[in-house]
Amino acid sequence: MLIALPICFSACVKDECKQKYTLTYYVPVYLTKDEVKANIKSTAPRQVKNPGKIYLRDQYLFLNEVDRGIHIIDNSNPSHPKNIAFINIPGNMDIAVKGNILYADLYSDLLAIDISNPQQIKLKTYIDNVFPYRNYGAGAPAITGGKIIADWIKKDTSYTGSCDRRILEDRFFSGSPIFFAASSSSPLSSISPIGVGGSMARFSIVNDHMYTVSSNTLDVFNISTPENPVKGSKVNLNWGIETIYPFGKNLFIGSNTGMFIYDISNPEVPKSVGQFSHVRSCDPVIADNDYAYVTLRTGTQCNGSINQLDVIRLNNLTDARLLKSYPMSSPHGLAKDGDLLFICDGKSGVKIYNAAFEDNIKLLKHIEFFDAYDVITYNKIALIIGKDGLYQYSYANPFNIKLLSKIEVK
Amino acid sequence: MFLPLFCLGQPKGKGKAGFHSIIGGGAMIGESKTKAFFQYSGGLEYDRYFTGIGVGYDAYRLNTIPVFADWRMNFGPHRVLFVYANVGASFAANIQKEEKTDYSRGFSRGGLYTDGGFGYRLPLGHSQRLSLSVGHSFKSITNVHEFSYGSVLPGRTTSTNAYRYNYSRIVVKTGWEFGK
Repeated sequence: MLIALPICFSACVKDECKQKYTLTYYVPVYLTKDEVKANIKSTAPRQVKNPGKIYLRDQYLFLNEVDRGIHIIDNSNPSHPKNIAFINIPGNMDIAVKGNILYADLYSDLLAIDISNPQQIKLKTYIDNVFPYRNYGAGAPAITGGKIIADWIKKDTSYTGSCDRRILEDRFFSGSPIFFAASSSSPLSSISPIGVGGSMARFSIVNDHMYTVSSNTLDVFNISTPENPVKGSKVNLNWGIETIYPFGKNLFIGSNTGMFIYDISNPEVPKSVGQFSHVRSCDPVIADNDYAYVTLRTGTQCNGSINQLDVIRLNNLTDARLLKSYPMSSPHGLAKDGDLLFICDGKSGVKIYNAAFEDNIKLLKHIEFFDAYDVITYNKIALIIGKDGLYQYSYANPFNIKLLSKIEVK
Repeated sequence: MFLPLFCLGQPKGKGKAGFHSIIGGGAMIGESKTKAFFQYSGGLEYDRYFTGIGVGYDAYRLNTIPVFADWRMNFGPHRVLFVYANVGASFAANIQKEEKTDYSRGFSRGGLYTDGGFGYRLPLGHSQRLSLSVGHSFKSITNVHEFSYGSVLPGRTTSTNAYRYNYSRIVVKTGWEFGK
């Protein structure tokens, strides 16, 4: 038997590795611009699948369905919100509302939509190519030759072979019709005739002007005639711009390298007044009279290695200084109402702090949550968007916060 | 798992089933490496048969924990020769190894584990034996890496790479048997 061993050896020993590579990807379906415009209307309500930014205006909630359009939710009774309509807007990511006009992007284009009757909206103005940086569609040109990506078809494919990374790489770099979504900031948006959006917004309205940020610019739109926005000045910023938050006569712009403060005393021409630099990370920002609150988090798009809340003293805007940092898990959007500070801390849920003393913020309540990423506070109600739904909590009694309702994400 | 150890020294009548333990270890000789392993089996021995369950640690290429059913038959003069067969599953040794981010997930899936061969048992007295065996072992385990890209699509683009590793090895094993 022992003699047989060497003979057996070569046949009996083998290291083998087999690789199965499966890819699910999407190919774009193009429609003509006229066809897309004709489809921009109120349609039957749809199930929320991939929620983006939220915007609150009177009794209505406008919830972006990433890259698809906008859900209109009648929130007259926060305990029983009703999804009443859906507006088809391909490539939509950001929203803002003034009066009865809803502003929304359609890839690189800007729409002004009359929402006087949310169930019968009317497209008032369509402006081409005001956001050129958004003329993409997950790797494919979003608007090209008069056509717009209006839908996507899901494709699945798989390859099997010996373990060789080239299977993967070949498919990635062979020019196959495989489109990867350009990374985007996580969802979310920004308040009387103007509504209220979240801290993750890239559109923000202050009186007769709408300010939008791209990854490296601040654009001004004059909306004194709401249904007819007029593009104004453009301010070049550093790369990595993520969010915009208005407070008083200032805009607080969050970027992945710091917070920039712009004075809008002259609303047509924002003027840089100060900045606060931090390590590279994603950073939504909010502010009040005296302090700015910046959440820093790590992430694929943001790099960085820290997760924390920075409280920044604003008594001298030209010399904004860090007051104190508080460790967090993966902080995203945030909101402040009086002394209460709400922070969406990713998978750690929503944390509510007593921020009466900025240098000694104390945790009051921790709501277990499934991946929360933005929050809006209004009328003692916290509207929280997470991966699994849109939640509304009453915090009339901060020590007894109650869930009022949830709109499921399917 | 180690309950059988406490059964040592319990008197058993001839022809009755008795608890039996085997602690073994040795080398896995494969195509590219030779690696150590160890294992423990506990079960019942009746007449010339042993049937039990075992667990071990197999460091060949990928660290795995085999969990298996162990069967063996003793034969020959004084039943000093034996054949054995183990069949079960291999699992990743570090179950904390699963890695997850917003965009990727990596984890391992268990696979088949077999070991079969023959050997010789040297009596040591006091119902103890030293065994020496040679056999063939196979283990399979799958590492899966899932990636997803972006969030602006109706659904994310996802890719999954599943690497299935199959390892066939010669096993040279020594064991300490006790319990009957």
